[in-house]
Amino acid sequence: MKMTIEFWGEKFEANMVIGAIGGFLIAVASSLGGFGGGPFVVPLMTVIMRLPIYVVIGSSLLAIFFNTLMASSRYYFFGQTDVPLFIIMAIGAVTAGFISPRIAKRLSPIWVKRVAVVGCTYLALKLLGVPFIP
Amino acid sequence: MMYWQRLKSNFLLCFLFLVFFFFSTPCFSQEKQAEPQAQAAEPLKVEVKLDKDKHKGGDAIQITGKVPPGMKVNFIEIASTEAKVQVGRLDRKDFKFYLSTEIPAFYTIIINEDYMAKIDKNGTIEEKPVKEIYAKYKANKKWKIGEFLKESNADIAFITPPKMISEIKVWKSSIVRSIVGSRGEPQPSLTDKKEVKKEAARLLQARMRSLSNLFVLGKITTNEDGTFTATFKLPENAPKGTFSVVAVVDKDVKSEPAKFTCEVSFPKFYFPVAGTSVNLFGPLILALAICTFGVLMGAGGGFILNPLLILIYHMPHQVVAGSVMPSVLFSQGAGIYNYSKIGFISWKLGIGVGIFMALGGFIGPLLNQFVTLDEYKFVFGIVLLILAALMFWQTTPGYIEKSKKEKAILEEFKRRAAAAKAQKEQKS
Repeated sequence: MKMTIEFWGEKFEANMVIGAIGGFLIAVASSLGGFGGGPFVVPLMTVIMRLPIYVVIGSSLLAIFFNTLMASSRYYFFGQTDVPLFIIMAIGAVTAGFISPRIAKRLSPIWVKRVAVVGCTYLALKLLGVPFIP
Repeated sequence: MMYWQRLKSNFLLCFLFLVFFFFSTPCFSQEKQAEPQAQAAEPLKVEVKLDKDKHKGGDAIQITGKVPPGMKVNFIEIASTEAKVQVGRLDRKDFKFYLSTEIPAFYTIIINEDYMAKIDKNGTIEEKPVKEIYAKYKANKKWKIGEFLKESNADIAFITPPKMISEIKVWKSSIVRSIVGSRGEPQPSLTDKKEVKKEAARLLQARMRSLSNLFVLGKITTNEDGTFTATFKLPENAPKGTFSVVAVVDKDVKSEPAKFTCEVSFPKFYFPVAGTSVNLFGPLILALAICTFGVLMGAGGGFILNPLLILIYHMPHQVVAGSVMPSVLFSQGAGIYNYSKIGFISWKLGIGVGIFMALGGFIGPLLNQFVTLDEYKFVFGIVLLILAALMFWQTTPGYIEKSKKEKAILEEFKRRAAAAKAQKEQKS
């Protein structure tokens, strides 16, 4: 099922079957884990749905917001939200939003990503219980 | 004459017998009454005392007391009676989901390291050092608390949780029901003390996770006069509120609970849903640092923050996910507002995919309750590996070249959007 999207005078065809299934699966995994699905939804829309990045950047945020809002209310309803912990995390997240752009100018994004690759791989191996990981 | 003499002596004998009987009966009865009195005077009483009424996380608590001579304290149960948390567990055998909101946030049983556990094997009692049993269960990742309690005899010290828990809710779950986001078909709650005891132990295992968190092999020294001493180190992250301490000799001989209060003062803070006390600045600095790095790498903070909160602070994965997830709502909301101001959102695409993401977000938190910590770690580990691969791809020369072009287009579109917005405002 194709959906026509009009964006700033241009028309794009979006395969909504892929969008729906992909979005659904990413949302299940991300809400199970308790993280935003941004880094997965953007490649889903750009690489798999073949949409240009300028269409995706704002729209993916809107799509993720649906997931975050729904999952957050479900977690709250299930009694799994520790309000003081949430407040601390929110203070951290909002403050980071102000600090990051200032630091970003001084850092090479490629190097940040390289560090992140190492960090994520290390954490992943530790979570998977791979032996000999300190 | 002979006859009279015989009669006289017989009569005397009878009289003497009657006199003896008359005086002796109260003596017998006194003895009979004295027996229970002797028992009541020296009942099998266990006393337990604590060095202080108030403690802090990290304190070493001195537990002393007295048991009847010849007896030994084999177990000491320590439970938080005021701080209670919610714990859920999906039984994989019959797909029943059990949930209680009255589980002690902290629970442990100290087992005397020299204790010889008695195992009933078809009527014959065998003795086995509890150390051996403990080592066997510690090595087994899939240990079952019910089996350990029975084999180590620690079930006789499992006293407080069944008293604290009034009911355990039960749902009969199925895959179809999970897909529609339901816990399952509600079943009658467990209220029978025996059933509550069994399930409470399993829920406590889900809460405290490892054998060494729930059971500690320790030195409980009982002297010849019946006095005993033991030391217990209260963990740093112990919850605040009242705790109870019960010393147990055997099934019938145990103390009344002694109470102490765990105080939590600034900068330490008690997180009531997570059920742990943590220095407030720890998670705050962690959140700040990780979220800053997360925004820089373009992935948000949750990916790294959640596993770290679990690995460093040992918070339950259900609470970590439930508390971190809503914290990004503000930044997402602000982002959407900013992009919508310059008309940089395709509402059709965002809402189209968003509806299905909302469906996924309806099911995910339910699955989060159903999975164990190990399964959660596994899913998270795989997700992080995929993320690492994605980011690695983003550092390859081909991608960098492509992204430079895309960035230029993006900037151009942003400029156009901002200009159009300004024009509109001028016209109006």
